[in-house]
Amino acid sequence: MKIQNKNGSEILIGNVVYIVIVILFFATMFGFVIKQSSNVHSYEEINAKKIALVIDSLNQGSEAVIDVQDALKVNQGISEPISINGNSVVVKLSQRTSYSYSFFNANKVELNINEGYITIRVK
Amino acid sequence: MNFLNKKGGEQVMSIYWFVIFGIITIAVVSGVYVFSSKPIDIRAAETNVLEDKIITCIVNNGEVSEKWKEINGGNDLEKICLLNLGDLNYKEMQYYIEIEIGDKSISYGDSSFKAFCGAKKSRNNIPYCREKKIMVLENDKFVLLNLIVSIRKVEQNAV
Repeated sequence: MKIQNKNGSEILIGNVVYIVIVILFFATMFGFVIKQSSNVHSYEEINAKKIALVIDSLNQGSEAVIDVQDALKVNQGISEPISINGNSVVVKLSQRTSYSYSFFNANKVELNINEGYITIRVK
Repeated sequence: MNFLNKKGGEQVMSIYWFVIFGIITIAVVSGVYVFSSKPIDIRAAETNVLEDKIITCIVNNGEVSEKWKEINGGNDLEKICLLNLGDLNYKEMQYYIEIEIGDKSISYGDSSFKAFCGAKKSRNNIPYCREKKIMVLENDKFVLLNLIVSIRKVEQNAV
């Protein structure tokens, strides 16, 4: 097909380039917002605080099961993503980041992760 | 301003578009960062659990328990009520607890947090404090149990 009207083709190309730039821009913005809303650090903070609160509220000899599938989905190959250090819950989902939050329950606490669920036992 | 040269006008418009894109980018990025960098404040829930733990420890079926008589200071409170109020994330004490039943009262932790109790909540980056008053039985008489629990942990909850 031979384009005889040069001016028309220039307008068409210009508009296509403009639309592509706008789509790319908004796709980048959307991707950024999605990435920020699901970043590893926020999962670490949410889960550390959630587990610490549950440990605090448990009495001696009781146990609780918490769903931590969301955190384990974003785990970047850490072998022990959720652990106890002293009286702090440590959630580490990547090599560069980790988050710890303390609990005040002085009883011995045991964690066991199984298929996306964590069992907390207070002994 | 009258644009006689249409092409020149389009170029001027494209600069405006880039400026608009720039403004949108700054707005979205700063908005997302402000929202996502704000920590989740769980101190109210933590205070609630700590209050429950202390009351369950020193009050049994509405009556002041024997444990209360054994508590003469903060260290006794930790030992008898099975609490560990130390925090590896901070050098300073992050809690303040004050218990008053009748004539006896004990306090433990950083007493400077008490100044924030009952204050109108104008800022988040101050210790969270709550006061609880309940009536309990002591030697068959009703006495007031006044419990103040304050938690700092500002850096992790309210920056």
